[in-house]
Amino acid sequence: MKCRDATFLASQALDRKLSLGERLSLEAHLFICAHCKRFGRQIGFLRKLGKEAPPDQE
Amino acid sequence: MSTPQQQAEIAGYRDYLLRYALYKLRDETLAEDAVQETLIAALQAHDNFAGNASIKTWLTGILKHKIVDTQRRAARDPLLLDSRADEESDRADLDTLFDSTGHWGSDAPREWDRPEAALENRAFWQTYKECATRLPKRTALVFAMRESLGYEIEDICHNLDITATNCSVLLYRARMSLRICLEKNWFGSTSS
Repeated sequence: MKCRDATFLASQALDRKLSLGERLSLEAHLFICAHCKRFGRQIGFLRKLGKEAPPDQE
Repeated sequence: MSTPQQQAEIAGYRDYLLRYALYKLRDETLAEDAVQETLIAALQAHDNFAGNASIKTWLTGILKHKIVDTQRRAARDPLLLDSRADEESDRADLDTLFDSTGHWGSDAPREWDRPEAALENRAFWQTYKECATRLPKRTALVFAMRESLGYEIEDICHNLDITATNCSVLLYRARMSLRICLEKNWFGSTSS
């Protein structure tokens, strides 16, 4: 799997249940790719931002 | 119907509601519309206000529905349905982030220094807001529906009348763009 596809799958993993095949190939890629692993952590953090963003913020 | 006193009380929350709507919709005109409709609905339906919730909570509840209505209408706005809408749901341009073999190019993610600490920082939220404002309109809308309002993909597709694949690409685009923007404008400058 290439980073281009791994990042797209990592993004989709936040929105739907991946198939077993998708999950396995994503995990295998993340195991060897530090960049994509970071990407996964960072978009998880973005989710937190969307949820916690204070509406009262000017 | 509502008494003048109740009307004044409801109107007193206008600024709060507007900030809330503006934050969620990121568009002044749309936010104004949503708040306007909320106030009208609240004034007409004041009898339905159970009184066991705070009036602020009650109004926010109405506003949330109006925000969804507004988003739904905005999504059908012909201005949004131009050719760029198609471009937004095509991820070909994002391929430039990767080299010809599909691996990361110069925009490869770097380590973010203590992201949790940023949550406590007002300046960080300002940066986040600016990054979010730069997203294409439809991309921003889908991201807000998913990550701020917690909608499932099926609901977003249904509301905006787009396919699940388009929706996934828009979310991918939003995440990728926000990631890069935050790294350039916040984490890049604070981490060593």
